[in-house]
Amino acid sequence: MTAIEIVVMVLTISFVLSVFGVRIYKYLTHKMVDDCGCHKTNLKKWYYKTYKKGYCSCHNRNK
Amino acid sequence: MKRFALAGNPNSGKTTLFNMLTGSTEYVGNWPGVTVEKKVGTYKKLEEAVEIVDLPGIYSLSPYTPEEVIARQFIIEEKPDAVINIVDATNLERNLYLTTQLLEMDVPVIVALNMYDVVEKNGDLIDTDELSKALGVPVVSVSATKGTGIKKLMEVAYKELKNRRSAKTIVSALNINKLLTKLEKEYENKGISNPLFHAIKLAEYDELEIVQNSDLLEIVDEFKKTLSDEVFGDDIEAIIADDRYKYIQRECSIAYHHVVSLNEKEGSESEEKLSKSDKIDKVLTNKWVGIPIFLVILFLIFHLTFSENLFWFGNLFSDAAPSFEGTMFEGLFWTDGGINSPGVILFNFLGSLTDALSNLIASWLQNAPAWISGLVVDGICAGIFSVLSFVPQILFLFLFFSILEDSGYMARVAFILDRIFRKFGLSGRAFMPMIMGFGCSVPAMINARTLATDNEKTATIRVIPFFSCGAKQPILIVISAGICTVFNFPHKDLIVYLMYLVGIITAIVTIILMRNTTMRGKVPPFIMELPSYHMPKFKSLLIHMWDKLKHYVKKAFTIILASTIVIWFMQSFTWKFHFIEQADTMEITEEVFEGNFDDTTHTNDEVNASKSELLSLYSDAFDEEGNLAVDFGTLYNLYLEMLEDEGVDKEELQALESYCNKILTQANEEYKSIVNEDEYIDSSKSILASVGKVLTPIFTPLGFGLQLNRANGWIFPVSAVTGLIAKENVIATFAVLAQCTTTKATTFEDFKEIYEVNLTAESGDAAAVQMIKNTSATWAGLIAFIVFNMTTIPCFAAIATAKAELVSSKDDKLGKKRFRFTLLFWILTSYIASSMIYLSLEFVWPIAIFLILISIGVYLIYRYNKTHPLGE
Repeated sequence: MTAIEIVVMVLTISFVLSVFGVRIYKYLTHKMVDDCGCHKTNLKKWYYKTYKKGYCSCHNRNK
Repeated sequence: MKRFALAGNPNSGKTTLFNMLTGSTEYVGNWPGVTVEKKVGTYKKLEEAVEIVDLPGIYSLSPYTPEEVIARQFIIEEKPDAVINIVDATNLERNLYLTTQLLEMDVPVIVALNMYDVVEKNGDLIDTDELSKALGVPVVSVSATKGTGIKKLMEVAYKELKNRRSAKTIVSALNINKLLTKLEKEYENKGISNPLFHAIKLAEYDELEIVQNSDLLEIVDEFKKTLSDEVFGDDIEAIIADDRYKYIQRECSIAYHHVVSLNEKEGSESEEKLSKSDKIDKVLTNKWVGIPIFLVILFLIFHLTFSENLFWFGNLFSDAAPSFEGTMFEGLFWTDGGINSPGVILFNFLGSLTDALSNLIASWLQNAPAWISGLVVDGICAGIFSVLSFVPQILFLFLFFSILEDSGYMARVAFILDRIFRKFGLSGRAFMPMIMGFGCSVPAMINARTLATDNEKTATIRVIPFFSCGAKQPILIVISAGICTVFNFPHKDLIVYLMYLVGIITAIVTIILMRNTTMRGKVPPFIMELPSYHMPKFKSLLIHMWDKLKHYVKKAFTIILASTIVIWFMQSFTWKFHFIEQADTMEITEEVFEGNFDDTTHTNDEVNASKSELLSLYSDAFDEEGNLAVDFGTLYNLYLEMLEDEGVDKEELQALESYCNKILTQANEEYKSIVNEDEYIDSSKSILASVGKVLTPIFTPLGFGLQLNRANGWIFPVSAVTGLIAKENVIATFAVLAQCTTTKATTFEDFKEIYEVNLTAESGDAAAVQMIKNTSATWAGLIAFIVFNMTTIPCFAAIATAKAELVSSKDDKLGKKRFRFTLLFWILTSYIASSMIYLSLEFVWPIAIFLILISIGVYLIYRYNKTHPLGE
């Protein structure tokens, strides 16, 4: 593989990853209202739903 | 930073002033209710920078609509340093009603008399000093569209910040002021800011106020018992409203003192001016011709944008017009079919530019590794250019829509459609977000917030995607152009127009269905102010168009580009990551057509045997030395003509036939040897093809599934699925995949087809033609494909917006349910609508079954509604 091919490949992959990455990042960090009324990012909501069922970080207690 | 809020009635020009002050390009329209959220910007021309907040248009500070709640909460809770009250000077009396309420807050108020230029043009004059005296706050005349008086307004507002203004009310009827004083003191004791405002709101039995301070309601109840007005009885809210209007009338007459005398001088002219707008309205909003006129205007817009036979002039000028054959203008302005519309001329022009550019890039990359030239030319260029080539037509369409909007006609359309909408279970107000849906579903869904009831809002959000947005236009244009070319149908504009109508009809049918089943409810009354007609401003038209273009181009270079790269990768590699090189059929076909095939000379005996016949058909077939001077394509066409000629010498014909067949066989052998080489990997082994083949059966009832050619049929389902990310992806996918759909050539006609299609393969149209021919799609299946794309999930951005709009409050379980159902609704509607259309158009007889099913459905709904009448 020549140097040019490697440069083109790296640039293309990083462009595609950044476009989809920005969107995924925005989705994960988008704040939504949780069941308990707190504003949480989608990522946090998913984390508590999966691993700490019933626990609310902003109330610092179980719901 | 100091903060100024812009408050005023709907369509009084707040956003225009906001854009002027902050240099923003926020959306403005000549109809009420464009702004539904507050918008923030900065004004930098004073001693210090000032933050400007544009609030939605409101008629009062009572919480009748969501906009009124937003504006009121902002002024009370976020306490701006001053409120600039934009007043439409041409409707002074009604606009000042809000002013009298703003005066009741402890905040500096500055009245900006907007559209003052129109007042002057009408020959009127408003005495700002006297009005200022009557209201007790500064009044400045401005024109937001022309930008006059704005600097003075901001200077006056900035000066006002130093004077601590305390609230004042003009309400004094029937000792209500005594009640207000008492309540004001109570609020002061409770430590609530803006006590006078709260006192008046409680006296008016304001819903929000009662919830917050119900303990003070007793005082109002007691006072109410002592009230007995001749007209309004003990209705305090009505008495206060009446008092406000009486005050405005009294004080306005002083300010209008000069107007009367001026009007007397130019009375007749002014009267004529007033009636002009009314005269136009008499026709455009007429009960019988209003809607037909609207439909004709819509058709004209589509005709001017998409037609290739402008005003059906057809062949009228075809003899007189130069054909520009062989130049860059060939086919730009007119073709055999007729004169091109302005939209098509620009489209062709941009298409030839992008073609030239991609050819140039391809020649640069001639010596580059195959995968790099494949990625750049077939992936990036094909994808991006196919999306960008539609920019002119999209801009044209938006230009026309903006003209209709800015002139004030769109507001009339909402008004004339209210009568029909009401029958379907919506108010005319729902028309605003729907018409915005023609631009983009995202702002349209946000605008649906202004609808009065949740059921109406949800139903409207669900049907907004059926109004084809800008991103869906390329699909419409490309597929309908493909249908016209392949199936010889001359009216592309008619197909586009009908497809728009199909979208609208789907919206109507589903609304009726929803409003009679899951979304039942009474239609709220529709009251809308009709703005006066005015000539659209060039600058605002440009802003509208730029707004759309910016959005479209940004998407093309981010998500669309990334998607095309992914699609190109998936179609260029197998699961084992082997790169798929396309069989170069184009090279072979070029060789065949240009006559240099495999060292065959054209002066052989077989051709010379038919020399006399060829010369009789085509005098330039041989040069002076007796050698064949035409390429193989022309020669073969001459042979075909000879076949139809009965008087032709049979022997000569046979000689030519054997020559033609020899060349074709040789070309075919060459082609097969490339295809059958061991290292050649067929594109049907690509990752995308294997994924596509899994999806294909799902789309069979829609006409673009298993019935398509097995080798290439997966392309339509794949395009439809990539379109769920963003609709521009559909055509970008076509353009990328067009490269891999070459059919195996066995006859001359096959070679000819590949040759002709490949000549223009980069533009979206040619890609679609190739796709249709190579997948053997039927026209019914193609129409169903358009309908599916038009009615299904519009894009990821629209899904996110719908979620934000439907799931509003913290424990909104109903909202979440509604959102999930909305997604299902889009998928089901598109699936059912397009399969119904495919089956009906392809086989006809299913229409009978559909009619029976629809009749049963209608009857069941009718019975249910009769047995379960709607409660109050």
